[in-house]
Amino acid sequence: MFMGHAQIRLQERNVTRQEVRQALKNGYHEKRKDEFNQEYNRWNYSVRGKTLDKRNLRIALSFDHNSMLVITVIDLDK
Amino acid sequence: MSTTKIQKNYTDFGLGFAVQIINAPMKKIEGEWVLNLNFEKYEKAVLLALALRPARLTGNEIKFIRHFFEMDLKTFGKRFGDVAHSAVIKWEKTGDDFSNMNWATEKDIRLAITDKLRPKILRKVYADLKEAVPQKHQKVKIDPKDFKKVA
Repeated sequence: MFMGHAQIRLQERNVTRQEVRQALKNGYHEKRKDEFNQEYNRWNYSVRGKTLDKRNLRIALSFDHNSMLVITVIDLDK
Repeated sequence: MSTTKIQKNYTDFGLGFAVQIINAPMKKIEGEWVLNLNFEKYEKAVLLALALRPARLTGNEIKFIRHFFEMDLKTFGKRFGDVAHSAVIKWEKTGDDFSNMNWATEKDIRLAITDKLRPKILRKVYADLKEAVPQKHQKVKIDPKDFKKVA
C-alpha cells in the first residue's frame, strides 16, 4: 500500500507504482539508511534498486500487520 | 471506529496517468485513508480497459503497457512496429498527449493485451478495431467489481 506522502512523491518525480515494484524486485536492503519512526514505533526500511529503464530509486518502506507500506520514494538520478 | 470504507470516486495517478476508480476500497492506516486494492488485478483491469477504449493511447499509457509486459525500449520497439528504441522514446515522451504511433502498431498492441488477458474476445476486439479510433481524451474508469473479467 502506498501512503499519501509516497503518492505525492511518485507524482512529483514522475515515478510509477510499476517502477517501484521493479526496483523492489531487483533491489537490495540499504541497512545504513534504515530509520526508527518514534511516532508510530516501527522501523522504516530502505531498499535501493533499478527500474526496467535503469532509473535508480530508493524506497522507504514499513510493515503494518499484514501489509507492506511504501512510505516514500526518492529518484537518485535527479 | 471503522478502518475501511468505500469511496464513491477516487482518481489514482500511480500508473503515470489518471484512472478513475468507482467504489474504491480504502483502508485507514496511521490516520490516513489509502487505496486498498489488489494492485495486480487492478493493473490488468486498466490494461484491458485501454485495449478496448474507443480513444487513442497516450505516451504515458504506452509506457504503462510496456512496463506491464516487462519489456525494455528496444524489445518493445522490435515486437511492436519493428522500430528502433528511439521511436518508443518518442511515443512515450508525448506524456498525456496521444503517442502518434501508426494505427496498425497500436492495434497490434491492443490485440496483444487482449490475447494475454481475455483471449476469448480476441476475434470481437479485432473486428471492433477495424477502423482507427479517434484522438479524444477519455479517462480510464475502473470498478473493482470488474476485476474478475480479467485472467
